[in-house]
Amino acid sequence: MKITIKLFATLREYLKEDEKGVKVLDVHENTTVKEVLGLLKIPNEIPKIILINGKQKDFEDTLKDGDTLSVFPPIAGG
Amino acid sequence: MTLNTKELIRYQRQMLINNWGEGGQEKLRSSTVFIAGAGGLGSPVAIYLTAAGIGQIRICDFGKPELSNLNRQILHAESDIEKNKALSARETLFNINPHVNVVPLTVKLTENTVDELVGESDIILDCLDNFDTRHILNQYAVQKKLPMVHAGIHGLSGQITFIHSPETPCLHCIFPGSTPNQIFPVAGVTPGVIGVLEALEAIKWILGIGVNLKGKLLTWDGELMEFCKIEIKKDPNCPVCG
Repeated sequence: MKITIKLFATLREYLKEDEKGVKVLDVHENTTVKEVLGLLKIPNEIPKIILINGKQKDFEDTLKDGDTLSVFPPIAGG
Repeated sequence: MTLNTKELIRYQRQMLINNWGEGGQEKLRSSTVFIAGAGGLGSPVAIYLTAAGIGQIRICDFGKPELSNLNRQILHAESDIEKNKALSARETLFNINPHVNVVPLTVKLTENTVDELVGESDIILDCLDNFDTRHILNQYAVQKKLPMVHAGIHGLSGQITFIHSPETPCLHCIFPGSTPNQIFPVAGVTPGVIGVLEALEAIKWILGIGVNLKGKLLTWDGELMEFCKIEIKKDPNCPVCG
């Protein structure tokens, strides 16, 4: 199945520069958020806000075909 | 005390805004704000709150401006490099609006100093550059039920939310833990964009106008020029506000 992942701010560096933080991924049914982040080599230790189709979700939640997964990291600078 | 003739002229244009008026201006003048950090975010926050006519601004920073700060920390000039940032801020802010009582606080914000530093402030503006100190400030705000505008910036992006426990999630609910303290990329305009939004959130809350970012995180991507407002939830097991 296909899902769209959108990475914000500092997480952008886990995608190619020209992807501008957005990528369509082919993953197996019932893939969890944690597994998707693992595929992209995003460390578990970074706390994140996770949304699936605009609703806040957790690491263990599963994705279905056509879902958009958005991930927001903490931004420390000031 | 009513506004004097000079103040009536100075604040004329903003008092024309719906539900602002002389009453709103007097509310701003009788308010005290605490600005944690006189750096990138602290600069636009302090400048706009000073220009708006806040009564007392308590601005806290123990550091000194460095040459590499000056692309974004517009409170400070090259001639301020050997001064403390809070003291340098007071000079700049006095020149902008001498009606505002600016209190420079030059000590480091810690669990031991936070109470004295925040003092009798009505609202806290988080303009810090690290999560460790932010969590100290968050814990204090939750304890005292004080509103706190949180913001963070990186590169050409930023985010902001309005925290007021127990009504909203606290900072720990949103981003528990910390991030490594390191030199981060940032353009001067980034804290400019996010800092003025922080100042606006504080002004709206003091005046009681509009809608604050309670339970919402507004993110800004300057590269794609996109704002995104997302809902954030309280953590029922939060060790700070749960």
